[in-house]
Amino acid sequence: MRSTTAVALTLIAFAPFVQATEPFIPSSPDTVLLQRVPGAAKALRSTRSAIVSGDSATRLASAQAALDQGHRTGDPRYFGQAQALLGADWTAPAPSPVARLLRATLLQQRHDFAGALRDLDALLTADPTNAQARLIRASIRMVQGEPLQARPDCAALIGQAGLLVTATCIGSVGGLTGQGSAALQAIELSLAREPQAPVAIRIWAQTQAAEIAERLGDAPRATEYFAKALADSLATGENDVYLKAAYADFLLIQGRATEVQSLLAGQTDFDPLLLRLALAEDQLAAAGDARAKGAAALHLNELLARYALAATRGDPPHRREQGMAALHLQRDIVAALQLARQNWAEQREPADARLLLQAAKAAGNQAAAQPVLDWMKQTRIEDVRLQPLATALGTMP
Amino acid sequence: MKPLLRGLGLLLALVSGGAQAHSGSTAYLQVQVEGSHLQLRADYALRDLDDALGVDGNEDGELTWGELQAASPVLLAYLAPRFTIMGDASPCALEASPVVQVTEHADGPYAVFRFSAQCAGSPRQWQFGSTALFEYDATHRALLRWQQGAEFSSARLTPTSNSLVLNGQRGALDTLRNYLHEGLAHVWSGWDHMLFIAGLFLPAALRREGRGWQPVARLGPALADAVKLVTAFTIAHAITLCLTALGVVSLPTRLVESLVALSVLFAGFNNLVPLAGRRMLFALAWLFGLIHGTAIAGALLELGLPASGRLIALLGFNVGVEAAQLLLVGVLVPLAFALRRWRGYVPAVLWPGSTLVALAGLIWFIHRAFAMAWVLPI
Repeated sequence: MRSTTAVALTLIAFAPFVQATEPFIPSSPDTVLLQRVPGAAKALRSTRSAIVSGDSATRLASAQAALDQGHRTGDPRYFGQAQALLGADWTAPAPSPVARLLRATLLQQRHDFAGALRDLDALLTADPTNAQARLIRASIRMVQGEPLQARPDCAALIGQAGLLVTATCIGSVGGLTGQGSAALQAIELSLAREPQAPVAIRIWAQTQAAEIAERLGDAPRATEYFAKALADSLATGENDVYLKAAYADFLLIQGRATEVQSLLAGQTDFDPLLLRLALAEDQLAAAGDARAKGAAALHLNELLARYALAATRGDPPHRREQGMAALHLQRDIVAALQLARQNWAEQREPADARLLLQAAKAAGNQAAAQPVLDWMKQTRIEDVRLQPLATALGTMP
Repeated sequence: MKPLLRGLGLLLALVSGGAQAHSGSTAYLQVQVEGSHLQLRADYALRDLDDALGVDGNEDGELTWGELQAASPVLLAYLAPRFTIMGDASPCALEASPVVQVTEHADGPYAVFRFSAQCAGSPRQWQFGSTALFEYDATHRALLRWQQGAEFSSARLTPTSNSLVLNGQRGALDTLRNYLHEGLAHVWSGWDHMLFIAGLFLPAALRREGRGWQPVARLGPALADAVKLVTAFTIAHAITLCLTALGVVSLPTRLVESLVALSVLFAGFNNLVPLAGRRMLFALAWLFGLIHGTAIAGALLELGLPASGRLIALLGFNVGVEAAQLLLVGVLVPLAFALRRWRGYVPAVLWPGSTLVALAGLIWFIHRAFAMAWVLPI
């Protein structure tokens, strides 16, 4: 790890330094500086001391635990810890299957889809029955906007995974390829048939069902599934950032900004949720709420500071969210269109398509929207949020 | 079913497009250099220190100020040896202050540690590195702000690039090299300057006969003429460049920039409709050289001259500028000479090229003189 490579001085912003308060000495030894989950750090340290002994199974189990905790809490530090725990496996050409699956998961987490696919392809070549690898590969294909390529992996899950998992995987593909109604029905049936399925899988299936219903324009059903998924998620005590962001996006389209506010209250630690909160406040401000206007401005500033820090750190950028902020909050159409285009080159989910269509429409740039219009034609996706935008762009002079 | 449960967690996180919540683990390092003495302030997140080394003595989940103070010897014993500070390749003695403070960064409370280092002599080149926390978190980043006199620089330390070299007082050779490079880069990226020269030298291998152009017989005289022209231009603009950069003269930017545009317009137009003969052209090249020198100095003023080695910097910049334009002339003139007998040269190269140059000059002139704010591609 120790290297003395000289790096060129990068002209990075000083802003993160300026944000700190003057250093101080607290008044009393009992002053509480930070609240944490009791014992969590100690557990972490004791697993680490086990790793020093060189036991690879313990090391990989700890990496897996860190990864799981990252997903449960939405806190990126755990992914960095998991990567550190992988040690030499992180750069090895062909680590053990367990290590390789962990590495693939971390790679897709940081949007290195090509790297993740390389590992997943190798894993599935060696062991076609690796259901986890299949599921991750299928979902990467879907995120990349290639649902038809995901279908064989979902189909291969039949007999290797439970009914609900298989049906949700296949249903997700159907929901992106013009078979939304049938897909929704299949997921609903499987939810009813497998009430004993683990709650995490039920939450996933319900979220997928909600999103398919939303795209089909069935708002009551979407509301129903989002609410069910959220209730299950709250019951497990996990923080499902993706679910909340998707639900908030749905509510924002419906103009239900006050519901977004209550959904996301106290969740501003999470950048995607802070963004949705600011979007909700912006909607309320447009309707004449003066207090919401101030809050939106404040939250936008906070968000931009976080994006700046992430850039200074050299983190992989989150262009979809930065594009949404640029388009709807900063109202910088040029920047929004550029971000939307770059984002579309990386990931192609319906939300990414929507961002590019909106930005292209705002910029009056039909050509910029063409890749999305082609993609819509090719996948035959049904989406009531995309169709009107596509029609408007198609009839632009 | 059991193993899939985990895969599912992964799946949900994936579909989220890798939603980044909180910020990654970040340390803030601020260094101040004075002579051979160096002071370092290092801010580490309490949370990271607790995860890596343990701060919460009684494990109750509440990190108190008392606990941080109690843990600080252990924390300092971990941190201090992980810094590498070298002056001119010899290690400096690092000393930790026993006083620990607290500060708030955007993502929570941080502990503030202070170190000082004494180095031998007065180093010209520094090396700074830190390996702290990288073994615990591969996405940990240490952001460095380095202050030396009035100069700031900043950098990011990562697990694979955890050390860097900083130049302190720059040697004369460094200054020369840096400013030479800046001069080259400035001319190559400044379209108006290049177009002016292109306009002047497009007909380098031709001479006027009546209303038309005739090719010259030999490269020698054409090259000699070109060299004379470029020398006149160069000496003129070296003079104003130095005078302006040293603050002896200062002309309004708008005036200078408009005159530069006018010179470009002239250079192009003169090839289409003869305005100036050979003698007159030398005089004009000299005059326009004076103006271009003033304009180029503007870029140098923005860049700033170093407090020490002003003349060396000026020399370097000037040599860079001359080298860049001589390079253009060196390519243009032989090319024009090689093509001079080609019948298409005048209608397909000289006329359209000169028209383009004149047009650009005209647009620039209107744009600059009247401060018209239309969008220009260049």
